[in-house]
Amino acid sequence: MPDPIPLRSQQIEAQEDDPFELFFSRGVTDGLPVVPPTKERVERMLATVDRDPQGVLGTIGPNYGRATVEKVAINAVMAGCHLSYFPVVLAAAEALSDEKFNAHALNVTTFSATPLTIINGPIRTEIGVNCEHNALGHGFRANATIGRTLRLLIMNIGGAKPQQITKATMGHPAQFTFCVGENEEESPWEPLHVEKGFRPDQSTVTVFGGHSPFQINDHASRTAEQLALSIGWTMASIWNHKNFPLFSDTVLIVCPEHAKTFAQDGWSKNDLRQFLFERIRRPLRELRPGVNGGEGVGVSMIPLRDQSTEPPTDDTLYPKFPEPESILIIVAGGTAGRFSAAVPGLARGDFGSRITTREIRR
Amino acid sequence: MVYFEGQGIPTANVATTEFLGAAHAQCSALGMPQYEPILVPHPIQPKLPEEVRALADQVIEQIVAKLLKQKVQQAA
Amino acid sequence: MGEVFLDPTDKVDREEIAFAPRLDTLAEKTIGLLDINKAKGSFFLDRLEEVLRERYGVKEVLRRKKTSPGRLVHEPVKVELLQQCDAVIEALSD
Repeated sequence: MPDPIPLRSQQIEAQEDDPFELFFSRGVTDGLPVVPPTKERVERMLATVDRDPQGVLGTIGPNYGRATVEKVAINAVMAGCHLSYFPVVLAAAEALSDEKFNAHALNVTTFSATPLTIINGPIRTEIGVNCEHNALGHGFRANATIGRTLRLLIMNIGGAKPQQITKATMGHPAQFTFCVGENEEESPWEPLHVEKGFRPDQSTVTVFGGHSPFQINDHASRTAEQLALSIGWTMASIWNHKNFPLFSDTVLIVCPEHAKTFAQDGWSKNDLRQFLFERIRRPLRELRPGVNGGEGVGVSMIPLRDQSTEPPTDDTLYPKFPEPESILIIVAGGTAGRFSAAVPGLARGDFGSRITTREIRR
Repeated sequence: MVYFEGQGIPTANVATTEFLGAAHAQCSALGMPQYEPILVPHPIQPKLPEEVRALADQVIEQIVAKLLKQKVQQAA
Repeated sequence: MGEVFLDPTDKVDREEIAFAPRLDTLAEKTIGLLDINKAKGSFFLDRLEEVLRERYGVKEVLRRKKTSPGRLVHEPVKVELLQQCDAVIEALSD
């Protein structure tokens, strides 16, 4: 018989008949019922990995609670994760609690930020991560519960409860769960993890501090340039139609049909991001506060990469995207239909949150 | 600010009314549930620079009182 | 006895921190002004600095900024304020 796993979490004894009500009353759910984390369920989750349950992956702001392997297992059970998901959840929790990602920034802003988890590599097919039709939507346990675990960790370890420390003005449904696999099989390009220096046969999670996705329709463009302009000018209203340049990163999720259109003209991911950086620009006269709305130039806090030393005139063009590298591109979604999606980001760099990738350890 | 108080440095923290709850929650989590911020009306972002400066004039006495000895008996 | 579950939260045992001793006066003191780095907060701190100098006889004002409203104070800034200031004012959470 294997040795019992030493657990340190406080034990909660249920007095009521219904354990689901118990967890609602303790304020540790996202508003939906959670799977009650019995000692047995948590032990089974921990037994899938060879990790010290008291190992600390990192801390999660703003309360800087400790994300131990055990605490992550408890929250993964609550989220409804299958046992096979736990290595992925641990890697995502490591990324979330990395100081570089800075979950603190996501949790104290009125922006309604949430972590988007992108999964790459063979693990996607092993555990059933959806990368195809309805990739960002419901219906797939891996996507639903891995993303949900991060939200529960943010609340229960980070201390970020809505309307208390967290003052997100609007919120959005992706705050419940936001997890997708890159559709590497339908992509003409290098997958995200290979772009970041991993081998194709390695599996990774990448966590991005973002907002709710919005969809970009294009059923008409027949060339890469036309499609890029169509997508780019739709993305131009990210944050606000007059916020040029963004002080954030952006994820562009290209659907397979759109990816084919780019590939047919020989465009790589880098060609696309470079094009968007160079061509999605507006002159200062259109961006001054008071012209078609009170927002405008002067709100942005990050200098332009190609900032001229000359003072700007009404004709000076401002890019939407601060630099090509600020656009992270993946392929996801089904092979039928021409809707791509953009995910606006929170502030980038030291000021906000940095995109963070972790290898999934088996 | 909780850190500085713990190191013997008196502090004052200014927040808008909308962030009173968040300030309480954060200070409690860090070990000072009794810490009270000084409040100014929300919001700040749409205000002109001179309007923001005027808020400083409105609360400077409260800020100073928070740092000086004779006010320590009042609710922090 | 009912069924037993495990707590998903981290109960960090922090000792309650007492308030620091207050100052007798601000005159001749060094005051740290920590900008949390939300837009427009600097105007508030500019005016505070003026009044502290003109009306309260503060000798020196150390103006420092958080890297971001969404981060703790950067360690070098924290140490600097700790070592050089008699009091610290942080503004403006919005």
